Amino acid sequence: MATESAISGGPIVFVEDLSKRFGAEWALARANFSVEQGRLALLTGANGSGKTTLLRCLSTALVPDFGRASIGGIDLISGRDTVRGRVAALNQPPGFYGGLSARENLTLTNAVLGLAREDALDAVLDRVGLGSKQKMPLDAFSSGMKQRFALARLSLLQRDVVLLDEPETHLDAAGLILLQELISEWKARGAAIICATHAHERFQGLFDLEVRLVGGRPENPGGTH
Amino acid sequence: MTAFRALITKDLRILARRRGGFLSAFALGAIIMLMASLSGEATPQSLGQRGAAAFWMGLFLGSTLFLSDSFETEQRDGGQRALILLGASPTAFFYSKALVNFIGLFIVGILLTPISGALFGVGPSLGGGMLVLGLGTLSLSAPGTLFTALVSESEKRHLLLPVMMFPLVVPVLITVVQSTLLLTFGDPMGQGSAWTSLLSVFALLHWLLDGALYSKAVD
Repeated sequence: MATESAISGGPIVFVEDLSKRFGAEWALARANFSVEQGRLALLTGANGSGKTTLLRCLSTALVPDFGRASIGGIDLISGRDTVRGRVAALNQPPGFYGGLSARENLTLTNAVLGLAREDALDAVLDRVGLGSKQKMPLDAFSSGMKQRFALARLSLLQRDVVLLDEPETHLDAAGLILLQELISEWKARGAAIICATHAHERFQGLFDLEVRLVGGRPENPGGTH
Repeated sequence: MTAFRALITKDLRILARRRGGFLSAFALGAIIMLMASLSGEATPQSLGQRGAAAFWMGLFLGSTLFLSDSFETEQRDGGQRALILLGASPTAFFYSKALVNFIGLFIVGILLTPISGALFGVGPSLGGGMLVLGLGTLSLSAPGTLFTALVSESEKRHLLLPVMMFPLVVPVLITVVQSTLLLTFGDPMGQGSAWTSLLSVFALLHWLLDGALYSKAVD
């Protein structure tokens, strides 16, 4: 299903004048940028600046009111179902079944999305440090452990585009190193990553583009490389 | 493991680990039947006639608690929403959830049956009763799953669910009560099969149409 842009290594995420309104308020207004394969774009800005709204539009959870965006050349609205198969998103909250164990949640994800990676589940949980806790229900996990589990699920997906909404939240020092390692691996694999964060310094040396949002509007249209 | 089997396994696990909705449905159904048995004339004929209506009204209202509970986890954790955004099929979620809700409501119905027999003195034959109970709970579980998904984001979902669902399932309730009465008091005119056929049509329509509408409700 790779598109021409995906094969050539060119931009895979295009955002053009993307805007979203809640009532009379524009939560996001005329966002413009593109992200190439193997690149990390940071979305920065104060609370309420539109970072999460932008990510939710790109993950197809919200329908934009103006502008357009595409993933691998596929329009977010007309090709919604295809886009969903190419994007992996870590939202807040991440969206698991708290009554099920970590292993049961991953098995469910693997089966429901037809990933055929049953043999990789143990390795993925070991990688994020949850191998010995895989039979515990997620409701019994600490916030940091849940965030690690969210990273495990993202690793399992191996999608072209990874959307991260404050992925550093709740992570300890080892968890932050793990996050940086995973981002490096995803970049090396050719995934385009868009990450909303308040902790700009956590991604020093990793990010290729920064888009700063102020009151829903990009302060630096096109982003700063 | 196929997607559908994985989803059924998930819903059965959650049902087995969270028994609150199951017990609430049973308790509400039993209380409604008790109230109905204490109101009105206490003659065997009058009790028997009230019994069929009380049983199904108790099971319907109890089902709204059971159905709400089945979506409590989805609403709280957002697991279904997250998987749909990653490309999972909403239709597979509907059929797995409706099937597990059917199993749960059928079991609640079986547990309420002896209580109904004790309170009202009469009841349908075992074979016919199981058939009507099966078709009736099939006809309630599919629209119940759809409407629970529709109201699950609302703070007033426990009020909205029975209010929205009741008008839609009135034909089903009338049909199951008539079928139950014919099974209980005899069927000299041979009308039972017509009512059962009508109930089968309701079940089929709900399972097809509600399944097609589910993606609009959750996405």
